[in-house]
Amino acid sequence: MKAEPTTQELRKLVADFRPGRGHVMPALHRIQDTYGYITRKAIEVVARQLNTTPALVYGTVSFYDDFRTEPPPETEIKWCSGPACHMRGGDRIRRALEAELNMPMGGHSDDHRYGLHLGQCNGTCHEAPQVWVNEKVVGNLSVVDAIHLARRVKGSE
Amino acid sequence: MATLTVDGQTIEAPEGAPLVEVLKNNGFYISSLCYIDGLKPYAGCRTCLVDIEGPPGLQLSCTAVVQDGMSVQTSTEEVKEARRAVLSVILATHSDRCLTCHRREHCHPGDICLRDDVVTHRCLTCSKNYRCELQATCEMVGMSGYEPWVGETRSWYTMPHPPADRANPFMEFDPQMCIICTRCQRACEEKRHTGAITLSGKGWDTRIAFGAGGAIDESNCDFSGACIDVCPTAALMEHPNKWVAKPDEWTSTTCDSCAVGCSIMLGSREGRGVIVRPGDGNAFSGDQICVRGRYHYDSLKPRERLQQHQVRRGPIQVPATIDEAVSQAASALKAAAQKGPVGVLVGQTVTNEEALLAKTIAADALGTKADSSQGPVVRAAKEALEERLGTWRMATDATNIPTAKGIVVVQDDIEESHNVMSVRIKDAAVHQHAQVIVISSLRSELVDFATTWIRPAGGEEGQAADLLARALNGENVDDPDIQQAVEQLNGVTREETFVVCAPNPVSPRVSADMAGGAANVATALFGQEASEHLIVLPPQVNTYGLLDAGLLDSSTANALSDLSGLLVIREDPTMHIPGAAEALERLNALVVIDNVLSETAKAATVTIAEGRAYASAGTYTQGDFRVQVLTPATLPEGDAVPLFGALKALAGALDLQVPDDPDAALGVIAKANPAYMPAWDMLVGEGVRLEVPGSGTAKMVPVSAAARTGDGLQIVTGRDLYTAADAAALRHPEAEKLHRYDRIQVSEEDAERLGINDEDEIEISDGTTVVRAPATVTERVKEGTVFVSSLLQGGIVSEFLDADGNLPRVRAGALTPA
Ligand code: SF4
Ligand code: SF4
Ligand code: SF4
Ligand code: FES
Ligand code: FES
Repeated sequence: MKAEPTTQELRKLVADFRPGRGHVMPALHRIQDTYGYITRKAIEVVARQLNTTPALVYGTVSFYDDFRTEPPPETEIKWCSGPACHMRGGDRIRRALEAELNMPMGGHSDDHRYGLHLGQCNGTCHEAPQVWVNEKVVGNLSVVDAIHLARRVKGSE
Repeated sequence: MATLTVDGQTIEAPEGAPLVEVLKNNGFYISSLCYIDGLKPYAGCRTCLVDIEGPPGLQLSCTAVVQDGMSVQTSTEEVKEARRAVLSVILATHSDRCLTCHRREHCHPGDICLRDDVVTHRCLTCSKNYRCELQATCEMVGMSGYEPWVGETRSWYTMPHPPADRANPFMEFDPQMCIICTRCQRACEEKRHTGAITLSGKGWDTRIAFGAGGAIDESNCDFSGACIDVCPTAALMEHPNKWVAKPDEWTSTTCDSCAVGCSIMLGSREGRGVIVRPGDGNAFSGDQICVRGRYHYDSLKPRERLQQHQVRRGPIQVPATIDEAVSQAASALKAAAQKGPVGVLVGQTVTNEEALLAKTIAADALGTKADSSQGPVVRAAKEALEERLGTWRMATDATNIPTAKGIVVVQDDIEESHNVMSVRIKDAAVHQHAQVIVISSLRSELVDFATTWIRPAGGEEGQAADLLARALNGENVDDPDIQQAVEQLNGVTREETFVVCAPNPVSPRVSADMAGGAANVATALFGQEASEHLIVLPPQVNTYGLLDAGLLDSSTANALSDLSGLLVIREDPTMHIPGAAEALERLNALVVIDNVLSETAKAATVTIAEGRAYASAGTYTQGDFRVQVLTPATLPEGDAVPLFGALKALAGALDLQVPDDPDAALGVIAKANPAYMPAWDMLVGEGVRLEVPGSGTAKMVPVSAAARTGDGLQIVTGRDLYTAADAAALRHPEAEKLHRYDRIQVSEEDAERLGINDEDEIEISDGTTVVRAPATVTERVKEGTVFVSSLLQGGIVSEFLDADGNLPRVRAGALTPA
């Protein structure tokens, strides 16, 4: 896990964004791509850079499930919520993962070792239903596969 | 005017007015849980349904506007049923057992619920019970017994609720009580322009959140409480009075904490303040107040105020009756006068009427002129104005500010010193797209609304304003910010342009420079009409009243150290005059009338306990020469008496004739100064602007370069938003309850260079005076300066003042941990 970014680092990172040009989302994406998540300090820095309020930026961050405000877990399972996965039983995969990992969608283990997040379809639908484990596709899942996957991630198997 | 029929009654209302407001103002009950009077409708709660003839179905009365000839039904069965239905949906996200219970009227605190409801889920145990808009709405709409969901589980009872935020001293947020009406978010955004509140998440998970999603006090919330005023439930409430604010009396009076002079409603219980709400009838403050107005009624606990008169017996002070105290005070002052000059110092929160008595005592019994410890800084600004504009009384009506098209602000940080003025400037920036030129070295919140921010070195705001004035006059000034400001100001009509200045409250030199620079800008912009477009906000609420009364006029002939005796009225010279503490020790007689045991009161020969301003009747003259009424809203603690009474008793003991009561005193004032005549007839709360003629003369006098002494970081100071002045006089550790300004603020650049971290204990020193406090590293402060609040450690910053009224540069460094 990376150290929390400092104010100076954050300011530098978003220095080229300008107020009033719809730069909130790109600035947030850049921060998340760089540090893996968006700290409170980062929200304040973006707000200052774009001459808006932290509340407005936070409203945006909290609206999109893509943005996270906590460091990502070491191992992250992203569950695809797309239509193809849905048609091929993705919901059952989700329930299996949630039950086995003992966490709701968006949760993570207390020690930040693993977590479960919502993903958006990335076009690899031929392997539906699928999840991504640290961005690597694990597809054609059955419920049993999902349970084994969850156990492996937990380290209980 | 349009004519409309409501439930068969004919009423008149302005065409186009929001229907919901018209209905409410004409006495029709309309539930409207998301509407805020005066703001754009949000149309989210749908409880304001009415039946308007014409269009099919029911309409929202908050989005409907008055049209001539319209016919409205507000209480047909259909309307009532529809309101009950929408309300029942809203109740699904609220603790609703009591709200729909048909036995509600029979329930009293402590009763056992016949329906076996969990205690914490009932209105009877809610802090908002009996003053809750949601509760009242359910009552009016007839929710009693309306439970179509019987047999189902209501989702609120199965939801996990996020924890309440009780981390700050002012405001509590309990999300489980929130019905997501978004009123708080819109009040914060549209009335305050703070934007500290947002809706986070989406759909069912939507919640109210502050700042970047953390605790309220980690956001940019400034605790004005505008959100509390509009919250229809117990979700947002004041912290200090959440459970106790059941006043038995509401009194309309005036905030005593700055020269904006907002009207407040003070709720009291058995003579003690328990809650404050914005007052009404004030054309400038409207429905807004700031954190000081809302919470400083509670700056000290009642037992921390003076409750007994005291007289000195050798090394100790012993309790005395008012008669003993007053007669000893009189004889001590008379005896002191035999041995040398006696001075009188008056605090600037005393009323005009009390000031009259102080002035009479000073002149007729003690042969002196009453002054104030902040006299030098007030006179400095006054003289700077008189030199340029021929008067210190500006003719500008501050109610023009919200609709101005151009505003130049010369300030330390007006957001903090005179908060509601800052709100009104933001009104102009947001609604009029006004050109706002801010001249300040501190990065104040107003900077976010500025079209140009001119950031001079700390304490050189006056010089920067002078430069702007010269550039406006066509001089070539090689500074891109100033050039941009000139361009922006030249793009708006002069008629709708104003200059607002809040001179520094500590350094006479900086104060004079700021007032002088602002006057020059006004002269450059408006010529002979300069005094009709300039507002100068003095350091305290009644500074101008005292000046009008002829107090503060000339410096007490003698420095404190030459005096034989001193009468101090509700103030503490040790907070404002360098070396005052030692000078007080040498006096033959020191008589103090105050409500706190200040450093000065501790040294007193006689102390007379008074109630604070909220116990006074009288008037204040505000920064724009509006006279506001004070009505006694609290009782003095213990034996203490209202200040007018204390002064009258002292005058009596000195064989003086003075007016009998504040009203008679105002009559005397009005006879001497006819401008005050309208004030004499005024009704409570309403306020009246004194007639101030334009001066008709203006000349520019250059502001000379700032004098700099010492080396290191320049001290800058100013009034902060949070510190309570009376608690600071007591050197109370909670004088600043948020603990943001009981620190020394250091710039990020200097902190890095000097190895200072947030929270480090640091020391600043000019070689003689040394101040220690924790550091706050902040972008608010410009490189090369340190900010020390004017009230830090009881005004210790004034100890740094030199004989010319300058603040020095200081060495700063972290103390190595022991
Ligand atoms: S907020 Fe109002 S309706 Fe809700 S529990 Fe409290 S008193 Fe009852
Ligand atoms: S906190 Fe109060 S004002 Fe704000 S949305 Fe909730 S109920 Fe409405
Ligand atoms: S702006 Fe001034 S007068 Fe108004 S509430 Fe605040 S301190 Fe009181
Ligand atoms: S008041 Fe009209 S919808 Fe809420
Ligand atoms: S209705 Fe249940 S998730 Fe939308």
